[in-house]
Amino acid sequence: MKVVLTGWGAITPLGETPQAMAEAVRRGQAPFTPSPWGYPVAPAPSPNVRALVGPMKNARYLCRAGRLAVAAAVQAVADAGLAPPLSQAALFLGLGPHLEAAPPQALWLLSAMPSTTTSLVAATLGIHGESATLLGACAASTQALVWGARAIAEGRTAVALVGGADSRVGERAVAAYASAGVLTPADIRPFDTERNGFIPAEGAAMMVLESEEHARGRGARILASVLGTGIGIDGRELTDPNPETMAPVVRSALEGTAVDPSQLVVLAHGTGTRAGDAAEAAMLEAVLGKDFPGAVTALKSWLGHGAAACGLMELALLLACRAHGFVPSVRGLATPCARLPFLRACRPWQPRFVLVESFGFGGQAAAVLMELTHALGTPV
Amino acid sequence: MIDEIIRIIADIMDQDPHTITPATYLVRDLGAQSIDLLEIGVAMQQHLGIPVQDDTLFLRDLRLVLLRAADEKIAPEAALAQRYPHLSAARINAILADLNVGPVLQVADLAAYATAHARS
Repeated sequence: MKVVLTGWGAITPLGETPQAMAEAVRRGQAPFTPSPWGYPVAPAPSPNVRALVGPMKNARYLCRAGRLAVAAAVQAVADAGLAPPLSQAALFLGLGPHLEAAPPQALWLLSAMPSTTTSLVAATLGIHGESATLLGACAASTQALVWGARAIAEGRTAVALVGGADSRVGERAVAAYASAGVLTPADIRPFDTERNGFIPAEGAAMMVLESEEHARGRGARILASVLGTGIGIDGRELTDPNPETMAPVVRSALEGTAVDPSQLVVLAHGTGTRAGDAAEAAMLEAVLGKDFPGAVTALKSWLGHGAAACGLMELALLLACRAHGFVPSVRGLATPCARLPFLRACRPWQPRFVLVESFGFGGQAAAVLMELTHALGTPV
Repeated sequence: MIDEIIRIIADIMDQDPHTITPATYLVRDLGAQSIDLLEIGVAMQQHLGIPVQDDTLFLRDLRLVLLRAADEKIAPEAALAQRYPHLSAARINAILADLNVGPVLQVADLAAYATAHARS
């Protein structure tokens, strides 16, 4: 069963609409701002959930990431031309723990649990189908995309809402990353020899997947189709990314697909940390080959690190910019640490294929290859 | 006191406070579930600085009290007055007349409880 993408929605540090996101990149405007916690962060706009979905008493248990998730999910479903209730749809969300959850609420535990966000997205959209909350650290939203695509490909559901949400700009999250030594005090510079860490971000991105049959049956606009998926785990270390265990996941997404490599853009995970980028670059050199004629970009340089939401937020940014006729650069890349065709400037280009890859703490890994349908939208 | 209670309930139930009056039924009108009552109890404790006994505040064992009273041949009015000393005689009569319609808990009952405990 062929799986297609028919709509998406995202709330990101670059904005809440494809137009705003693409324009911000065009203007060269990164969303990074100093925080009271000593490191720059990338905050997202605060959606008015009540205005979007009306009174929802259980919204009191939605953490910030949960609010972003509900808003992006409502956007995605509308963008796909669907209307709630989506009774038969499946729901797969990649989320993380809510570190700032605390009393006074009696059931503050609900706010700390990532699955509460999944429950309330389901309640908002009337979803009663197959569901899972994926907790694969920074690979989580890409894991959700893999699970949703596979549920459709295997004929278990015709429609799946997949996505991720996270917020890592609060005091406890920043302190936790700082003590792990992964934050930059200056700027995030993926794959640069001078890179020294990432900028934590927040946001949500949601995508509507359908079987091609279901999408065509209702005359839906088809934005992309899923060609391959990969998911896996290192099984060795928690914090030592290993090109040898990352490679099979990416190869699995590329396997058996007839992709013109010159038409492929790779959305690298590219966190801007010393170890992470070195391992990913080595893996990409091995998987893509020395003469890879496509392009590699790293969109955390524009969004910051969206943690559990990063993979789909970056895919959303790519879709937004491609619809406006270009692919974003690796912002700030001066001296690449690897011999890969990094985009040093935004390129006027509507690539036919995109590979999303995400890697998280603990060796979590996921990758998805998509074919993008013909040019959409207007140039910014 | 009643304004403060209404503000707490409106906030937890995500409702416009202007739509809530002392006569509003928590379960019948607002659809409050046990999880909502739990949050209302905690919030009253927090914001009003009063000790909250959920079973009493939410008249939770009201029907059990009435069954026992019938068994023991005690007048229902007397049984309720003893179990819920914060309710007035008029309110107890109204509750007894209202039992068959559905859950009787009203916003005013929470205010009566809070007022009684704020005094003591």
